[in-house]
Amino acid sequence: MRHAVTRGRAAIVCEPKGAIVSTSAPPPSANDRVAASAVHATKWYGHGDTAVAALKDVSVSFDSGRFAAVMGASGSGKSTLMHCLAGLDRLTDGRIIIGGTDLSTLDDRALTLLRRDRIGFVFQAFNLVPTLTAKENIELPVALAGSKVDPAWFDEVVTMVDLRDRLAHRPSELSGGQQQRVAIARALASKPELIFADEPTGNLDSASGTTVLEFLRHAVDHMGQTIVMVTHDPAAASWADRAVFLSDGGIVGDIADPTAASVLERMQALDPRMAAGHERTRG
Amino acid sequence: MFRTTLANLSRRKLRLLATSLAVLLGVMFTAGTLVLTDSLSATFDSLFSDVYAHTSAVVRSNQKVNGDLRLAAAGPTRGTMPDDLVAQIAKAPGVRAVSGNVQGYTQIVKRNGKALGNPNQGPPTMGSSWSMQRTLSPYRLVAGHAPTSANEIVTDLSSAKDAGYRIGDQVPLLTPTGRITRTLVGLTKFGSAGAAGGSTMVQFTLPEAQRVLSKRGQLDEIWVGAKPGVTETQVVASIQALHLEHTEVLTGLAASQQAKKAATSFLSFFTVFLLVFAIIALLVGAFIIANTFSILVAQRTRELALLRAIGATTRQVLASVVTEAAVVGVIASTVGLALGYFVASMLQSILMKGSSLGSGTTLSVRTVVGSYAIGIGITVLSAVFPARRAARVPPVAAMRDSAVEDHSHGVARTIIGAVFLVIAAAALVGAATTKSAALVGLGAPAGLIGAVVFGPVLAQVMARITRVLVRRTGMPGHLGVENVLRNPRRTASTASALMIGATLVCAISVFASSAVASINKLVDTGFHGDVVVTSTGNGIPLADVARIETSPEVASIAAVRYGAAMIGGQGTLFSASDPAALSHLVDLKVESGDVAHLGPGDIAVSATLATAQHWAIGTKVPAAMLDGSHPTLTVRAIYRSRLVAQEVFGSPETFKGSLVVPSAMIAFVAAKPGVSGSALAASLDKVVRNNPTAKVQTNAQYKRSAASQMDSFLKIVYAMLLLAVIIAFIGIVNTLGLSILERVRELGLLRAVGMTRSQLRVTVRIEALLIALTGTVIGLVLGTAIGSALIKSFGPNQALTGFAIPWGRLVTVLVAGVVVGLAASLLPARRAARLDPLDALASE
Ligand SMILES: Nc1ncnc2c1ncn2[C@@H]1O[C@H](COP(=O)(O)OP(=O)(O)OP(=O)(O)O)[C@@H](O)[C@H]1O
Ligand SMILES: [Mg+2]
Repeated sequence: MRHAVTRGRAAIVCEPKGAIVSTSAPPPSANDRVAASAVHATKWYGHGDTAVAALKDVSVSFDSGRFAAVMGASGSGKSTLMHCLAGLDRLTDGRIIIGGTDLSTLDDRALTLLRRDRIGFVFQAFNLVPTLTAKENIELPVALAGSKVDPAWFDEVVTMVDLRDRLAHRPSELSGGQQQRVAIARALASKPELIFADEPTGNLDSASGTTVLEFLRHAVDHMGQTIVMVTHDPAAASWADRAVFLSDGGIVGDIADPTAASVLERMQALDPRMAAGHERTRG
Repeated sequence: MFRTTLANLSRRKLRLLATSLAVLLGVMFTAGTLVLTDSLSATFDSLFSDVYAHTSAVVRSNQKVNGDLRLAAAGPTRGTMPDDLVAQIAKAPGVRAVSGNVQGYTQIVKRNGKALGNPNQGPPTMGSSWSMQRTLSPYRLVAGHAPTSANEIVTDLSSAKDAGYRIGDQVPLLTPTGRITRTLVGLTKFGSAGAAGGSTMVQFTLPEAQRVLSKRGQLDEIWVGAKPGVTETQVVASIQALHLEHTEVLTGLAASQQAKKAATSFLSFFTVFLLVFAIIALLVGAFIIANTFSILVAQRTRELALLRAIGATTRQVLASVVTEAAVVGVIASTVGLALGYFVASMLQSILMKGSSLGSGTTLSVRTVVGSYAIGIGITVLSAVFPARRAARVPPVAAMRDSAVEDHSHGVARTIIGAVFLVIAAAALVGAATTKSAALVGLGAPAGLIGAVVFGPVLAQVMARITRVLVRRTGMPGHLGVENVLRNPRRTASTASALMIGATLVCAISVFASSAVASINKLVDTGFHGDVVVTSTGNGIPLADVARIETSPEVASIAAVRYGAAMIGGQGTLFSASDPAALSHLVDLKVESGDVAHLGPGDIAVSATLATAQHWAIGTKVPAAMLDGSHPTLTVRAIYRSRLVAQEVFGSPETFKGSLVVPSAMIAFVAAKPGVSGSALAASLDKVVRNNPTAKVQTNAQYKRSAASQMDSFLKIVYAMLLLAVIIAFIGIVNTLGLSILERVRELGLLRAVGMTRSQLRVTVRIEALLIALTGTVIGLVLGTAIGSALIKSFGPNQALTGFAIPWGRLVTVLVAGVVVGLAASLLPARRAARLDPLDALASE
């Protein structure tokens, strides 16, 4: 547990990110547990000469009730790590443990049920089933499990993402930002142990992106959620409690309470070109 | 542009496979039908050229009854000639040889006691005279010797083999005059073949043939051979110069051409019957093709828009899609043609077994051109609508993110569909209430078109209903229903294929069950006797009838004979029996007059015929019989029930000039008081035991066998419709497969957020089920409506007065629809479940 960092919220209150960010402490018990960990995780793609090592002996843990950002250059293995952690893909070597369950021991059905009951997802795009309304999309994992969302909880989640008047709409009738909010609501609705978000703001303009990040932050602070978010964007990473840096399939950095500046600095150290790209676009 | 088209084709080989299969099956059916009938027709050609190969002239009676196939089934439709004409003709100049012949029914009883062949359902079983003029006969001896005495016969080689007899054996024979036993002394071959087109032939000496066939002193045909150097026309002229009474003379060539024509007219009936099913298959195929192209075009919206954006004209895009269809059409037609040829040649060898006739399978230019025209035509036509939609894709669609989803089904389309359905409903109700079957001819196609056009709305309604029903099965079922709803047009056109099949099956089933109900009703209310005697051969010889009549248990019997005569200037099928006995044993539903007391020269006629000819009680009707007599008949009664009595009924005395065959087609028997129907049947069974074709049945057994005959007819029709169902099945598989490819990302997402493989399979299954059920349920309703309207449209004059909805069969159709749906979902569901969620999510 070498990356486990415990501290209060006050550290990032300085970030000027709107009203939702709270100064209150998270539920104390949340910090005692590791939500997910990778142990000597190695992932190879392909065979023979064309084989690529997407993850090389990665060991990392994510604590309950925390918001972690995974950063790195394109092709560094962020998505691969997240997919393996989430039970969407299998490691070539090493282990993934989610809340005490070793994923390598599970078959396809058990993995599917684990994703359904214990993990929430927010993808970069194509998050929603087009034939279902926003409400049905939010309830989807719970409905697949054959049960019903607790109405009070549903209410709380929907209020949080501010979608009350959009519940009967289909995804095609929603803006990109609204669709991402529906996706967040879906991820929260089943009260999963852990939410994975792969560039959830990648397709959004900065205002909608900020709103989405606010909700993720809020879910961690007020609902005790655990979130692991993959991002390219130093500003997005600054919303997290911790930033883990990947390069070439290995962990090359791990900073607590990242700010946009500290993240950029670290990125520049790792890969000057990439950071320069960010500077320009932010210009 | 053409290169792009080809590139497209090769990239989507698999998806187009199903389309090709739909065209292919239809073309195969069409080509097979054409090849088979061409080959059979070629066989008949060679057969009849063989018959008259050495005959220069044919002399026959000019007394004949003109009419359709039904008449021919009643017995001979041409009169006979006195046999002393042979001597006269032999003296005519230019004549080298003359041979007088008679022909009729003779059936061989096999070694196992069963009759060989079934002339009611297959090729004829014949008996004839052996021509002593070897050069004139198409039959030649291959073993033994010719019959020289009344006790001797020859048969064709394959019949002897099939029946299990060798030269020297005693052979039991069924003839119009009863059962006889003769010694087999020789075996024959027909021309170059073993038997003439699967028929059986027993040949007697001429006097014996005249006796057993009940044509004493009579001849059917006289064959004439000309002297060397004398042409056919010359010898015909020289015979005509004799001015023989009641005869006509024609050349051998003309005689063989006429015989060919008669056979071909039967063949063309057969061709039309098969082609109807081929067309149904093609029609169903057209929906599948149109559907596949719509989906492919929808999936390629962006690609087409990109083409448009970089400067392709609307016309070019249209041409590209149509070219693609044409290429599919060419390939599918070629394979379909080849398979059709193969199937036809297989069928031909089965049909022609036992004879080496028609050595080759015929592939005519008509078949090749027709198959390609139909295959390519249907494919291109079906692709034109989607292609036009494709051409209208605006260039900006290339920039849009998601494929355009078609939720609408067009107001115009809905209105047009509704109008058609209203017309159909009005026509069908009108047909039933005004008793005009012609209105069904309007209502049925209008209903089918309406159901297809209105289909999207119906599909939505079905899905909405199902949504309520599957709510309990949870999310997977719900998603399946939503998938059906996301494109009602696609659902509807996929379901249309199955709907057409279901409509036809249901309409025919309702018709058939009503026909059975009619017979049941007729037997229950109209047969006052206890036992019915019929025959699978050529009727019950009158000698057998006489033996039944004298049985101690029999109170009365009415034996009905059929024949053909010209009555009121028209070839007419009549029935003859003892009027008092028949009206006692069968209720003819007499409208007016008195049937029981018809005397010689009196007739009773059906109400239909009376209306058509404007005949009433007392009308004098001119008639012409086969023997050349011209009696004037008087209408004395009008009846409605034609099943037994046909169009005209009278005493045998009235029709004696046309009652050539001494057999009854059906006999009604009443038991003496105290004797039960089954006891009577059992004792009559013994009376007719020597005739293996005779069937003695109680009224209840008769009803059952009528129903089972209907069942065997239905089986043939269902088998023919099976092809349409198979094509519909392919269509569902295809649509589902394409839809799944379209939704790969969505499926990946579902799997990622926790949908299990079995849940995903349920979703696909529900979708398939719903498509299949939409088609089946609409077909059930439409088919039942059409079938019912048709039955109800027949007036009280018709034989079909019963009406019965075959509930069991309709439920079977519904279950079959479910099975088709479930089976169609197997492959696509497996494919969907196999998707790796990550790959699916990453796919573009
Ligand atoms: N299915 C695959 N087959 C082969 N190689 C793969 C596959 N998926 C990923 N890779 C390779 O593995 C490495 C890590 O990929 P990964 O998608 O995890 O990167 P990433 O950090 O998410 O990049 P990005 O920021 O561009 O999304 C890359 O070199 C990539 O080419
Ligand atoms: Mg990635």
